[in-house]
Amino acid sequence: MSVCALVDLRVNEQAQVTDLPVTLRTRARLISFGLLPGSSIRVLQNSGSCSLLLESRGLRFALGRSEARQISVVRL
Amino acid sequence: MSPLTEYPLSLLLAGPPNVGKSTVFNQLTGLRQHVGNWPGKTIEKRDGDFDVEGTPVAVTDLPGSYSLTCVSPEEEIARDALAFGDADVIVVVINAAQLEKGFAFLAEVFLLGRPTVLAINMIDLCHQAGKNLPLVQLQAALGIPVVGLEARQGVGISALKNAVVQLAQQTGHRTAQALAPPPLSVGELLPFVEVTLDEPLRRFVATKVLEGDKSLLTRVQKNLSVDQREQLRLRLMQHEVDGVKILAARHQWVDEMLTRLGLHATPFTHGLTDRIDKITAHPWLGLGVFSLVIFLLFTAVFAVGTPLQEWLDGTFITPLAKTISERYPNRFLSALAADGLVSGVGLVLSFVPVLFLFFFGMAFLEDVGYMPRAAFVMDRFMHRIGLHGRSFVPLFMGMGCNVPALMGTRAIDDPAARTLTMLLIPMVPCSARLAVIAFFGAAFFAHHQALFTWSMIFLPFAALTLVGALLARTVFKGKQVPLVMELPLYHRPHVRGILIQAWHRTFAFIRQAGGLILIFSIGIFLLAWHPSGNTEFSLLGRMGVFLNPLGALFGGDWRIMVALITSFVVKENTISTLSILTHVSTEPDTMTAVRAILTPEAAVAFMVIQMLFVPCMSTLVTFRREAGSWKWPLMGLVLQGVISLVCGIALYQIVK
Repeated sequence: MSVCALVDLRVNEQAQVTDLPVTLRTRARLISFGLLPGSSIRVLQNSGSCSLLLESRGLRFALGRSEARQISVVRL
Repeated sequence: MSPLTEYPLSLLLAGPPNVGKSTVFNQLTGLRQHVGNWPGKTIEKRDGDFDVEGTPVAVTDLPGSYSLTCVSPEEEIARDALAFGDADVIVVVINAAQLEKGFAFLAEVFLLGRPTVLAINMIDLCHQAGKNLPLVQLQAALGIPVVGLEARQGVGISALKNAVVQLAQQTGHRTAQALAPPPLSVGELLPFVEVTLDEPLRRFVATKVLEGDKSLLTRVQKNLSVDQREQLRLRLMQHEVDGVKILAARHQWVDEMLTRLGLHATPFTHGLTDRIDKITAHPWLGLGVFSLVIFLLFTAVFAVGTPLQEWLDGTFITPLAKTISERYPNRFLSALAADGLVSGVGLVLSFVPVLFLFFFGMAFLEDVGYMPRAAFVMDRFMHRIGLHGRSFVPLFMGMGCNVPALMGTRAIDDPAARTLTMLLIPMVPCSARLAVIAFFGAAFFAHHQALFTWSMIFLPFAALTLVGALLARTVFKGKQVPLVMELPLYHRPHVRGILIQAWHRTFAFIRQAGGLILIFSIGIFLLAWHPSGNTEFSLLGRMGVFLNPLGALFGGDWRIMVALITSFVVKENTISTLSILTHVSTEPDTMTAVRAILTPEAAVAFMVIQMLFVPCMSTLVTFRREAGSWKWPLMGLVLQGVISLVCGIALYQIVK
């Protein structure tokens, strides 16, 4: 099991979040979306310079690339 | 509407965003609702009421929030009303297709220990998926009344009303069972929380502080000595991991509850949303869809709205002004009534068709769930100039009229991004400025009119991009929130709710901005009248003469300066003022007259100034209303005034 950044995942890959070390406000928003260390997450879209499209706990959301770079995950 | 306290029973509607809470509110209250602002905020507050067997019940629709740990001002309002307000019953509205998100919110509301009803909306989605929501078991498991709704059709609304009244009449309300016990550290924090709050609320505050809620921490710290603050800080550091433990325990509770009821792993495939998103959220296809949508919106608003505006003006306002000025002998009073009052009121009313159509379109796109997709595909372009993906629609609509554009920024949930967008909107060349450009193009550059027009449109956009990029890297540096945004499930629109919202927003403009626009309108009329009714010798004329040296710097004279000042009322005034001051009344003759007072170089310089100059007063007043203070509108005013004059003068001095 190798740890990588959320931004490195490909479309339809699933992963488990290990760390959320982003700025306080983004962190708080992600937590309010139900994302915690241990949550599983699926990548719906990840291309070019666009934000990522993700799904976790039945919630679909967009996340900027620079934020996705700061979230560590392990592939499932 | 009377304050909450005058009702024997009051309830709060709370819940996560995008669950159809507004539809529930509309169905509960019908047209018995009132839209205002939360005290001291520019955030919309919706109140209403309904009767259950003769008992009047007050309802407040709280802003949607994902959690009671607040990230946005809206969530803070919702949290404060839920925790510290005095409503009798809380109705938590959630969405049957996203039970995890809903139950996570519900679990937090349970911490408050208040009488709560759970309303599960969109249960029709369950039936479509061949599932049945076990409402009875759910009610038993949660220990609170649970009502299934199909709010769009009005299904379950009366059951919800009855459940609320019944719960309020019970002595000693029931609360949820089976929530995980809080970690011991919550108890350790209790002594720091103000003792005036009741027991569950103190626990709630302690729990949220442990979870890392900054606003509640500040609230707690206010009542503490320096020593105690330090102790609290140490405790929080010592128990830092407990914050995440509490959150994880809450997730676990949600998962167990859903599994127990056979509802886990969201039993619905979000197939339709998936399929639509393949196109609308696609990096390139999405841009195509977005261009089409915004083109249709723009066309619908202005192709329908502008003729309506003209019809309103031609049928009512102008004839009324004419009748008044013909009928009354006193020249000053009739002119005041006709040119000041009636045309001021006419100006306010003339916004109504455009605003209504715009708000209808925006509410429709928001209601079906498209708006966040638009923001998603535009974000990568907008965030280079420090803006949010949601900033694009208002900026684009600004080309029709800046007023609805400013009101449209309400959809931007980040305060800094919204302020920056509002600062930039008045720089977008609106249709009225384009009319002035068309006139000058025809007067001076008949052979190169297209080139002239396009450069004049390009100019303000270039300025806007530069100013945006600059402000984002200076004044707003570090204030932008990165994109973290839910893309809700698509669903069918609720037309009645959309109509109600469009009407309320339009009415809010008339109520809030109308008065100030009227005052400005009369003020400028008086300046142009005093002392004799002749603009040339009026205070305004004298101001023009006083500013003559400034005008000379770009090849203009006092008449040009007066035209610039009157363009503050409405941009089209530039032309009518010049025709009054050059004593000609028909358009081709005004062109000749204007050619006589400006060289082509001076005309270009004047147009550069016009395109970049301060916005009209309606825009300014709306900006003030939306921003909640004069700080940013005045800063924008100074910025645009300086930029326009510097550019115009520099250009003239170079080409001269």
